[in-house]
Amino acid sequence: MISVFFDTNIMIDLILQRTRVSKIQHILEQIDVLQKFQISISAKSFADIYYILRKDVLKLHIDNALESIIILDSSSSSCKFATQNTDKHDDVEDLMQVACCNENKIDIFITADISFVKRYNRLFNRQIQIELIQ
Amino acid sequence: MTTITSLDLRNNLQQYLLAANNGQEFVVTLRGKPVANLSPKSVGDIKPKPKTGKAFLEYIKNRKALDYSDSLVFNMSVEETKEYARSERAKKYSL
Repeated sequence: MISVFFDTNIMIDLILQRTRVSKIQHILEQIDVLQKFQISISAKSFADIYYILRKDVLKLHIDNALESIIILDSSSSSCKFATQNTDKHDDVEDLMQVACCNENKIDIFITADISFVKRYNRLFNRQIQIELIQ
Repeated sequence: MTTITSLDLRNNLQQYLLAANNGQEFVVTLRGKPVANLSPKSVGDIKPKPKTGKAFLEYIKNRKALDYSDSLVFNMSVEETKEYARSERAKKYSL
């Protein structure tokens, strides 16, 4: 079973049906051909998605998009990881995403955030495949 | 069970009926108070969707096209979206 992790921006793309959706779908179809997979997001992303889209998007559409997605817990060790790395990287929220992937043995991380990839690539603790969608 | 307002229900009736048909349940509020339930005809027969990648893939392939191009976030870049979330939260907590 392959574990795919969506960054917050990817879920927002999918819910708003922005242009990147076809690229995301293409990647998922490629994975689907090879092996069974599951998709997850962090609990932090879950809250952010509702918060960012609360003024514009019908709640039902967010609920529907998240129905088949696993929400991963945020742990105290994720928080510790994020704060321990803030001397080098100032974004605790992004570091929580990295920690969540590390703790849950994510295989493929999908994001549209190029700066995230540049800054935090080295902090992933195992061989993770990063898919940058632009 | 999701709570929705009567106004929301009126404006998006068909979508809520379709969601109910797909197994979702709603509590409808009127002036802030829960007054009704909207649920599938046979709740016991409905199974939740499996949390698999295939189920999600099927969802994005088969869902109805939505137009959120007028929404505030739609044309924001990744960085702008992050900054928007931060500024909104800052506003919230400074109240």
